Amino acid sequence: MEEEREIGKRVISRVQYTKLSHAFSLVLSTILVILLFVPIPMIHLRALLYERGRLLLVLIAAGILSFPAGWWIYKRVWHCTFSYDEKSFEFRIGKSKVIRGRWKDYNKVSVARSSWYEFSIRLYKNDKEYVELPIGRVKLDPFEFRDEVERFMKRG
Amino acid sequence: MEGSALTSIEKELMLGGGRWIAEFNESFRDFRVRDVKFHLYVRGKLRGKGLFISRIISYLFTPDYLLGCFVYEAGENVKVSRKQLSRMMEAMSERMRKDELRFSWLIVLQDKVHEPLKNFVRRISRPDIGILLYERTSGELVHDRNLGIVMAKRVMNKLIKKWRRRGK
Repeated sequence: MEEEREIGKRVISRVQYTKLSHAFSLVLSTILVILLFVPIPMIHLRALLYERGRLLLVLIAAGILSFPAGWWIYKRVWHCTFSYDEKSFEFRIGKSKVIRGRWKDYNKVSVARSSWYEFSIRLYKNDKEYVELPIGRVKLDPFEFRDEVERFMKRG
Repeated sequence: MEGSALTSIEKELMLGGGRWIAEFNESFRDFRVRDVKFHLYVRGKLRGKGLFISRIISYLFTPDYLLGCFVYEAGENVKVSRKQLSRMMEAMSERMRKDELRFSWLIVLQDKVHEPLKNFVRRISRPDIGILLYERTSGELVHDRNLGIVMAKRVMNKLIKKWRRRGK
């Protein structure tokens, strides 16, 4: 869990352990599937299958390798960083997606819940057009944060 | 206390007993419709998403209606009149047309409710709008004869019990 404050700016960047475990299992299963299909000479395969110590060693090695690779994938795809102050906000999802804006550009705010019970804040420009900040991913209380956003909007 | 009553209704609708009625998935505070300001407006869908079998059952047997719930919280010792209630219902109808809502509920929280207003609400039987009046001083809940029953049963009665336990 990381939370830091720049001058007047709050930065929240918390690890999503579920997503991290997804990334880790993804890498681990990929390594194991690759190992399964690698043509290993019969003598080594026998050694692997019949000597539990070696099999365990391979699994541990795959597990150790999965940690940095899983972390790298998680950081690249899922990790969220939310920074905001009274005037503006920036929400980064992984390395590719960035949502940024100014509170005063929006006139209405709502709390939205997905069918997976993930909460987000919707900022409306008008009745149809809105931006969604998935603040559930940085573990902010959506109801309290909505009130804070309303205050920012009023101050303009 | 006032803010927390609204928050507890909001949470009960989105995360608690409200899920037995519909998938309430979005909520607004201080929602203005014409000259009426509702302190809370929660909207959602009748058809739930679910997982695998429940999703299939929901898709096959539940109509895809949109619905909403409006909450009005009167200030201390302010009594809502029948005329005000009718104005709220008109505003709701307008918003229902705009958001294409099939059903909606109006929950009014106030310290003391006039007896004629209670009788008026008890007689209402609209197919599209359910009305519930909650009297804060006595903890009494009055609702209409149609849609109000389900909201009272699934959401408000549970909340009233919670509030009584906390001594609100």
